[in-house]
Amino acid sequence: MRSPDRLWDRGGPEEARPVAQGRRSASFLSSEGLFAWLMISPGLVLMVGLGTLPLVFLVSLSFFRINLTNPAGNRWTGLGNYIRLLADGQFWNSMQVTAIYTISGVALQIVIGMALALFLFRVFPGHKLLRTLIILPVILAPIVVGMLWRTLLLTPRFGALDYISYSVGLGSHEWLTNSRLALLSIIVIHVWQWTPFAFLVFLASLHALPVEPLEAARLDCRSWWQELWYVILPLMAPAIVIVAILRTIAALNAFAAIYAATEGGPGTATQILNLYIHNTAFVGLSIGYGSALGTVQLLITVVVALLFFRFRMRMA
Amino acid sequence: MKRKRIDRPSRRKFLGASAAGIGVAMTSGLPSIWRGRSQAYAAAPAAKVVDPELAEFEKAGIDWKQASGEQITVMVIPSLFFRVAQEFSPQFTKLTGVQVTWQVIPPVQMREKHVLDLSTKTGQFATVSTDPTYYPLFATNNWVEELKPYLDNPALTNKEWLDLKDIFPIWLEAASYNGKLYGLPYDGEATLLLYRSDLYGAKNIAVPQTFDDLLEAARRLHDPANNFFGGNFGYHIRLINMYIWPSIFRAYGGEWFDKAGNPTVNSKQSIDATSYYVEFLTKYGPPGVANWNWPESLDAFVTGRLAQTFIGSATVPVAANPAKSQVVGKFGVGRWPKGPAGKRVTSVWNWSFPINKAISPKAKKATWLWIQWMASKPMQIQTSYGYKGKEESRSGVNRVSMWDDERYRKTVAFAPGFADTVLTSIREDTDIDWRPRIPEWPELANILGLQLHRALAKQATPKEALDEANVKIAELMKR
Repeated sequence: MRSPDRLWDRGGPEEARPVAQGRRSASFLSSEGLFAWLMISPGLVLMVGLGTLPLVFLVSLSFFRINLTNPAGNRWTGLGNYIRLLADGQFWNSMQVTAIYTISGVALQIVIGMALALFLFRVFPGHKLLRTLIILPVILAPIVVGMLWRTLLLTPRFGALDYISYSVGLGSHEWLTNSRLALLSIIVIHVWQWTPFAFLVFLASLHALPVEPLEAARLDCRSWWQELWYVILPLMAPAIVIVAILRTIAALNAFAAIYAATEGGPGTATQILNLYIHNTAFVGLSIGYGSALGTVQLLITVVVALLFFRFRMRMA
Repeated sequence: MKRKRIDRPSRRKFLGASAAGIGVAMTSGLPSIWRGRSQAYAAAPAAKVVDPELAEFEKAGIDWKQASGEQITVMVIPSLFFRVAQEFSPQFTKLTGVQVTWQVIPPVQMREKHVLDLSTKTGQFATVSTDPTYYPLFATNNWVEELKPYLDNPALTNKEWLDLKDIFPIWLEAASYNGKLYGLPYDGEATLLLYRSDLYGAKNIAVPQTFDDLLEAARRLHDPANNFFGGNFGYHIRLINMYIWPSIFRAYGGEWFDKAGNPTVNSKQSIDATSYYVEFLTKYGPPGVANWNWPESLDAFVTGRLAQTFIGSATVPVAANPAKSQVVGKFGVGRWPKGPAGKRVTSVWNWSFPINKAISPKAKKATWLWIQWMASKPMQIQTSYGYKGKEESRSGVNRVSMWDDERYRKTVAFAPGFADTVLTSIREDTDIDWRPRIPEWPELANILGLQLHRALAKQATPKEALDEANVKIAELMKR
């Protein structure tokens, strides 16, 4: 009897299946299973080699004291690096910065992206041009975005945005070097670059919504807000969750734009966990401790992604 | 089956081929064989024809072709002095038969790649432009070759021709660790005060001789309402601040460690030095200065927004270039002011080249030839006062004799007394302990640089920041 999970087993006529030609032998070597494995093996090897093995290596390094500035002291340290990070003020600071950056950044992207999608869902003169302009930031490299904001937009007195702020009487500010403003500034930079992604997903999702409930809502709802709240947003929920998942993972792994804009400063004001890992491992050359920090980062990303997926499954 | 047809040469083909054969023979080897036979009894063999471009290098008398066919990759920072050197790369290939691939990467990223390459022993880079503070790390880990065997091997080096005694001794010392030499310097600099001489003159301000003078000059020239600022120290962004702060720290009498080896970066001298640094920048620095590196500082100076700054002497040509600067003829250079400890302290800075231990023996030979070529006097001349290309002239040559040579001094007359100021700074103000010469420096700098940045951003007082740095450095040294 055929195994139900065979590659071509979609319940079609027996004679139409390619497997019919290979019935001469029941051995694994001539089976569909082998063929399937052969087909996926190049991708699998690449995925394991370039994705899984480095992660396993990362986790294994985290149990060692490895410091390139003093290799003579390298040794097995068990959970030593993890115990060290519990008492590391910079680690907790970077966790806090990462949380603020991620939560506020993703929430703003969803809200602004949805507002833009609803606005540009309508057809009016110039809507195509406006859509194109809105998605431009997303095609820039994050390092370019960081440099752009640092030099041309936020430089006190000379950057375009600071100049506008100064000109309208709001004063000139040290956007990237003031401890309180710097975090706000990098969140704004992140939102500016990645809201277009949310906008695109939401716009596509709006176009794919069934027409009947929307027409019914238009008759039944008293206001546009009710229509939005009771009909459109529930229908859009899967898209919102997908955007939230993808953008949260991306925000947790942000690096280049912040590095270019502030390098994590002033002090540690914008040092998210990723930057702290970079500084520890590649500037301070503490590979073991940096690996422990990297493992924590990995765990956080996996847990957050799993929670989101579980939420999505429950919704489905 | 068809028989294979054998083509018989026609008369025309035969005559043509014969004529061509004789022609080739005449224009190539045969006549010289005949001439050689007829001149077999001449007194001496014909002199080797030397390419004029290579003549100065051939004087070394070594076999420059001994690593011919080898390919090496070198990594350098983006800078005028390496751009000029890169223009001469085909000359090196012509001289040695060694192909050189250049990778140009900003310093912070370059150091990261370099350390990764050395520590993983991948041998990706045969040599990398290295600053002095990395030699203890490289030597301790046995990642780079000691150069003495190369220098002592007459097949590889003509010591007289290379003339190491003509290279600034302190630069060679900085490229050494525990008395062993690991790198040869190509270019270097002293950190100088760059000031607006026209404004100093207008307000009758003398060139600052002490830190108090410097603060006073900044106070008198500071005019933020007109976007003009009293000054800065050039390099302030996190980690890069460790290029400038050590000069203030040492001029205040700060010591890195006590006699027992305990860190002392939170000493009274250190706190005073940091307080001065923070006060100066907070009161008279441009807004956002904590995020500035030398390009921003130089840009502000050459566009007339900054009264004074500190800058590596190799960068001064930009301020004297009318295409890039609005202050040509309006600026001067000075030595670091004296600190409360009564001494001036400038950076020990040069870019030197070590040999990666992980590469093959032949590649090591090729690399040594390249390093020798870069450090040699003919190369230093052709990239400075002998240079006829499109870039500015170099201002950081490694040869003491060139700094005394009028031809060189003329090309580096960027400001009155430039050559003398650099020379005096290197000779008198350079402090070999400007930074501690220990393998742990990268991590120590990471810790201290961060805490200084916190102090500048007012996230901590100088004392709090330095106390925290001291605790962490103590932990580091124990590990």
